Amino acid sequence: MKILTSIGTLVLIAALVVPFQLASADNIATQQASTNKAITIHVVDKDDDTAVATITFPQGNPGVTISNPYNNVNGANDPQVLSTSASEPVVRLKNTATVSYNITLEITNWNATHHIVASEDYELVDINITNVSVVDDVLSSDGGAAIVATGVSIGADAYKALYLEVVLGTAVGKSGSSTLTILGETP
Amino acid sequence: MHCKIYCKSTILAVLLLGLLFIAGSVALATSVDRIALPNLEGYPGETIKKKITLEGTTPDERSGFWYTHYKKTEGDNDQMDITSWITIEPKEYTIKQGETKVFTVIVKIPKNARPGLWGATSEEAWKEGHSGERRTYIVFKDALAGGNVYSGLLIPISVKVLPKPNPLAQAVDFARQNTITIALAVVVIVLLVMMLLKRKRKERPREQ
Repeated sequence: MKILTSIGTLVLIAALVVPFQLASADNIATQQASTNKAITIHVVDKDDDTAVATITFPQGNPGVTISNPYNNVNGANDPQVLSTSASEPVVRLKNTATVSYNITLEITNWNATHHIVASEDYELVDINITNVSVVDDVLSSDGGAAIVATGVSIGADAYKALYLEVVLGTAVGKSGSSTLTILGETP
Repeated sequence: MHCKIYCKSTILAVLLLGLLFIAGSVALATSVDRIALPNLEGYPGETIKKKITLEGTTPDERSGFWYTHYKKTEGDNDQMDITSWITIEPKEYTIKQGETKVFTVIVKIPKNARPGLWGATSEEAWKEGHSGERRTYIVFKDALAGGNVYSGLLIPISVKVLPKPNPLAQAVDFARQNTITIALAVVVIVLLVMMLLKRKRKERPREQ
């Protein structure tokens, strides 16, 4: 009886200590998957794909609408053109990613020190549209910082044309600056 | 004849060189290795850290920074804006072609945060076709040196705050997961006790 009990105890302890090992057959299949790269939108000039660093609105009288901004690549002699037949944007947005992006525009405050800009508007359209004569989608209603989901999407490896327009504020003989940001978001 | 071939070769060489320079001026921007940081899990008071990497693809150096953004939407409750929980280190960066830079997204869950999903209205928000369910984002943007035109990406982020762990529940879970082990241990203990009792019974008559 004593021996049996001892054997039983040892077996149970062994069952506790020795881990169960299940026999498994080697049947390995390699799987592969990859995802597309996410790259920011490129802000490029009117004609080719040169990166644009700055957009400038020409000087004007207080309260006047400035609708001929230009980028640093095309220069002041080749500004944005509003026209019912031959409009030209200030810059183009190019999506080189293999995913499409919803576009959000963001500007910082124009009026940190003086009332430089009363409002800013935009149009974001297909590049083959050349009858943009009105720019009236609101980017900032008071010249202050704003972030606007445009509702426009740029497909993979596609372009859009961006038009901008500001109404100058009440300040006289002053200049100011604001940054424009093109933000992409997967749909 | 020789001149024709020579001239043609020269023109071809010039054109190819020109193409090289044109290719060099092509605008590129910055890529990122995550399009979303969804459903990060943590307990109230806990800090979650996640790495995110940017890669420069432009020959010219770009300067930029990280920040957070809350997409305010009518009808949102207080669980949608978690921008105050999030910091990104380092915040500012410069990057050029071929460079990769690693950043840490630090999410500090407040001690009093209720269990549930924060920063988005659904756990599916990061997926394609669900942009309307996103609320809190981390954002990076950069521009060419001296530029005022930035380009960036909105990266949705959400946190699943877990209910505080109950010590008793942990014990119950442990018991559930180790039922066989516990049963065997009980059997062993019972057998050992029986053996000891028998030995004592046998020793008593000897003492008498």
